[in-house]
Amino acid sequence: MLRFEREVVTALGNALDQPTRGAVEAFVDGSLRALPEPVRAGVLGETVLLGAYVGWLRFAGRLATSEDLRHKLDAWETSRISYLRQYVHLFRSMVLFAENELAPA
Amino acid sequence: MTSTSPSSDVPVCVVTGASGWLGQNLVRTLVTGRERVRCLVPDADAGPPLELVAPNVETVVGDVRDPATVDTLFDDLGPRVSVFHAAAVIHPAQRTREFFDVNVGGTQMVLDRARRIGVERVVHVSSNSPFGANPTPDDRFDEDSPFNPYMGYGQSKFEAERLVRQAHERGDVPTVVVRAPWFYGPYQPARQSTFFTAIRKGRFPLIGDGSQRRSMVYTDNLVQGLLCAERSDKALGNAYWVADATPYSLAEILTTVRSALTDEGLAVTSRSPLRVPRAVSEWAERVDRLLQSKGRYHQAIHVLGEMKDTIACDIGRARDEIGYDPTVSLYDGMRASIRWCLDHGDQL
Amino acid sequence: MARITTEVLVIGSGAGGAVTAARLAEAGRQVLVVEEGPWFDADEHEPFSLPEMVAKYRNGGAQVALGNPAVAFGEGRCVGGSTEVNSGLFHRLPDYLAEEWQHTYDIDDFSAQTLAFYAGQVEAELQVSTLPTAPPPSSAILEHGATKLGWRNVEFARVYRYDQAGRGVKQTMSRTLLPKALAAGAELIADCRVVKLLRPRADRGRVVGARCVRTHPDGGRETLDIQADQVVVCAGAIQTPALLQRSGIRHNIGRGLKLHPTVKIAARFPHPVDHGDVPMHRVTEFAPNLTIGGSASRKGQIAMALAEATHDIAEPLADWENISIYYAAIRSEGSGRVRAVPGLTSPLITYKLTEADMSRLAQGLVHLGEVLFAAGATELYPSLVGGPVARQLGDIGAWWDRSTRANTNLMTVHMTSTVRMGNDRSRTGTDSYGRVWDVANLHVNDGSLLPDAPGVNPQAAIMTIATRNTEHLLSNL
Repeated sequence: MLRFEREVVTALGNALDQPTRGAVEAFVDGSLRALPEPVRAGVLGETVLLGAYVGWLRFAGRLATSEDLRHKLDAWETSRISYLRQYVHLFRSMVLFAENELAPA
Repeated sequence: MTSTSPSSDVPVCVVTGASGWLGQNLVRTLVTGRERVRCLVPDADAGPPLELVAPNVETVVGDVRDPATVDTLFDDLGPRVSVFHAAAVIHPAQRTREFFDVNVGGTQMVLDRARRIGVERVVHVSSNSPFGANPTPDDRFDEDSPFNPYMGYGQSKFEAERLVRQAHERGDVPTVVVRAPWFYGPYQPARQSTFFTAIRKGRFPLIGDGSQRRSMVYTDNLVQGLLCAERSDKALGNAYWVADATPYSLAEILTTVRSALTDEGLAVTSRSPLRVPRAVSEWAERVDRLLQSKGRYHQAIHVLGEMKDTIACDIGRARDEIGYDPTVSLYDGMRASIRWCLDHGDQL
Repeated sequence: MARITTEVLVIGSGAGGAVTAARLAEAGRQVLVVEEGPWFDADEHEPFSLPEMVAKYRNGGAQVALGNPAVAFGEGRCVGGSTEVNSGLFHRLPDYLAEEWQHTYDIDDFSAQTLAFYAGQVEAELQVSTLPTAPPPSSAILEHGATKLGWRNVEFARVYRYDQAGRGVKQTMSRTLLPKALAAGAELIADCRVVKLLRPRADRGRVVGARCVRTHPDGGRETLDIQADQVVVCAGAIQTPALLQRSGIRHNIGRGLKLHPTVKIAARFPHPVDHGDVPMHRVTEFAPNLTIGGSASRKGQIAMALAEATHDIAEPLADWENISIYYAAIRSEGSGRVRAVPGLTSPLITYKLTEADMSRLAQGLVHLGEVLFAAGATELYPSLVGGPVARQLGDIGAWWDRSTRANTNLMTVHMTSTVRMGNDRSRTGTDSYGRVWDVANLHVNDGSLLPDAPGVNPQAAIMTIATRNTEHLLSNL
C-alpha cells in the first residue's frame, strides 16, 4: 500500500478509535493486493499521479490537513474523468465497508 | 361498452403530448364533444396555450416519465376515461437515450396509471418506424407485416407497442394502437416550416427518381382515425394503420406542395427540384446508424437517410373494422397547413 | 512435478461442476474435481460479512467489468463456488427463453419441456422451497409496496431446507452435490488452480489434461499435472473463457458476456427491518426485462449504499437498522468480453451498455423508488453519484436525467454467455451439449453456456443444463 493510499484511507475514514482505524487500513491493504492485476495496476498508476498532484498542492499551500484532502476526494467523486470518480469510489467503499463491519456494532 | 355513436362517447379524456403537433389538433376536436379534456404538457410555454381553447380543457404541466406528474394527470377523473397517448420523442434534442426514456418509460408510466384507475381505453399513437422500409416498392405495410425496427426511434416505438399489447393481453387495460406515418397539417412545428420553405425555394432534395412512395396522414384524418379506434369495439387489442387514402410518390408530394404554395399566394421557384442521387441518402443512413450507435442523433441526416425509402401502408383494415374514412386530400391538406402557417405569422 | 491420472477432470466445483461431478461419479466414472479456492465449512462465515468477502470471493469481492459505466461484480472462489455466497434464490429458466434460444442458436433438444424434465430432477434433489413461515420484513416490504400499486409480485423459491423449528439452511453445493460426488467415489482437490489445459502439439484436436498449481496449507506451492480422458471446465462465465484462451482455444470464447446490471436504493423505513437474509420477494410487473428485488443489507453494505448518493451519511447510518437495500436489474442489450492477458492471473473484462440499457436502468430506478414509497419508505438513497436523495414521490422524477453513464453506479453478480452453446458454429463456442468445437474431449458445463442473460438468478438454469449435458456426455463415454 503506497503512502498516498494510506492518506486517502485516513482522509475518508470516520472511525474514532485507533484499533478500528488500524484494522480498516489493514483491510484496505489486503483488498488492494487482492484486486485483479489490471485493476491494481490502474489504481497504482492513479495513486502515483494523484499523490504527486496532492504533493504539489501541499507544497503550494493549497492543501494542508486530512480534512482538506477529504474535501478534494469528495469533489473528485463528481469529476468528469471516470477513472477519478472510480478511484475515490473504490477507496470510499472499502473504507466504509470495513469501518462498519469491523467496528463493534 | 362504448358504441360508435358520439352521444355515448367517454366523457373524460386524457391526452398526453397535448401541446404537440398531433395533440393540438386532437384536443381541439375532443373539446367539442367531451365533458373534460385533461392535457399533459411538458412545460407551461409549450405550444399555443391549450387552456385558451375551451373551458373544458385542464392542463397538467410535467414530464410523462415522472410518476408524480402522471399520478396528478390521472387524479380525480371520474369513472369513465379514455386515454390518448401521443407523447413521444421523434427527434431528440441530444441523445438517442431520450427515445427510450420517453417512448418506452413514459408509455409504461401512462399504462400503469391508466390501469390503476380503470380507464375504458388507451389509444396509443405509434409509427411506421417499428416496421422500417417496405421490402419492395409495391409492398404495403398492413396489420400482419413483421416488425423491423428502424434504429433508435423504431426500436423505442416497437418496445412501446409491445408494452401496450402486453398490457391488453394481461388484462391490465384495454388498448388500441394506431400507427401513423409522416403527418402534415395545422399546428406544425418549426421543422415543417423549413420543409415548405425548402420546397418553395427549390432546395428540397428529390432523391433518385422520386418514385419511392410515402404514406402521409393529414392531422384531421389522423384525429378521425384515433376517434374511430377509441369508439370501435372491434378495435380492442388491435393495431391499425391510419393514413391518407393512398401513399404518394416523393415526386408527387413535391409537385402537390408546390401547387398548394402557389395557390396560397406564395412565390415558388420555377426551377425543377434538386435531384440528388439515391447514394447520398444511402450514405446518410449509414452515418445515421453510426451516430445512433454512439447515442448521438442528427435530425437532418436521419431525415435524409429515410428519403430514399418506400414507407407505405394499406389502410384497408382500418376502413373495414373501425370505420376510418380519410376525407382530406393531400392538396387540400397542404393548403390548410400553409394557410395555418401564414395565419400564424410564419412567412415560409 | 506431481502427476495424477483420472478419467474425467472437472475444473471448478460450483453449480455446474458439482452437478457434473455428482452425476458422473454416481454413474461409476472416475472423477477428479479441482477447485481453485479453499474448502471451507459452510457455516464458517456469516453471509455477506467482511470475512466472507475476503475468504470466499475472488479478488476479495472487488472485480469490475470496465466500461462507461463500469460494472462491479463478484465471483465465488471456494469449494461450491458462487452457490456458497449467493442468495440461494432459485427460478427456472423461463419457458419462452428456452424456446427462443433453441430456435436462435439451433440447440438440439432444448425445448421448455426437456428443460423442465431436468429442472424437476435438480429441484427434487436440492429441496427447493418457499418459506414455511411469514416473510421477513425486508421481503414483506416488496410484497406490500407492490400490492398497493397493483404490481405483480411473487415469492421466489430458494434452495433452502427447513428444520422442524422453521430454521432454513441453504443447500449449497458443498452441502449437497459435492458430498454426494465424494460418496460415490469422486475426489476433490481444493486450493488448486488450473493454469492451462494440456494439448499435444501433434494433435490439437484433443486435450490430455491440465497443468495446475496447488497450494499447500503451509503456503508452499507445487505444480501438478493431471492426465484425463475427458475434461469438463466449470469455472464460471469469467474464468472458463480465460482458461480456454490461455490454452489456445479461442473460437467464440469470451465474447458476448451478458450481465444483469443493477441499480440500487438504500431505503429508510420508520421501523426496523431484518438484515440477515436477502429478500425472497420479487416484483415481476416489468419482467423479464426489468425485475425488482432485495439485496444484502448488513451495516457495511448500507454504509456503502448511502455513500453512493450523498456524503452526509452519518445521520442515516446511525439509523441503519431501519434501512434495507433493494435493486432493479435489467436484461441488457449490450454485451462484453473476457480476455485472458498473458502473464496475468486475472483476465481483462469489459462491458458496453447501450442507450436503451441506460434508459431501462433509469426506468428501473424510478419504479423501484415508486414501490419503496408505496411500502412506506421515508427516504431513498439511489446508487447515483450526487443522488438526489428522495423523500417523496415528486423527488424521483429527477432520477431519469440524473442516471447518466457518469453518475450511475452499477453492479451485478450474474455473468453468463461467454462460451455459448448451440449448433450454429458462427455464434457458439460449443455444440448443443457443451462440447468445445474442434476439441473432441473438452467440454464446458457452467453459466458460460447460456446463450443470453436469463433475467432470473442463473443457478437453476445452470444446474438444469449441466444435468442435461452430463447425461449426454455419459451416453457417449
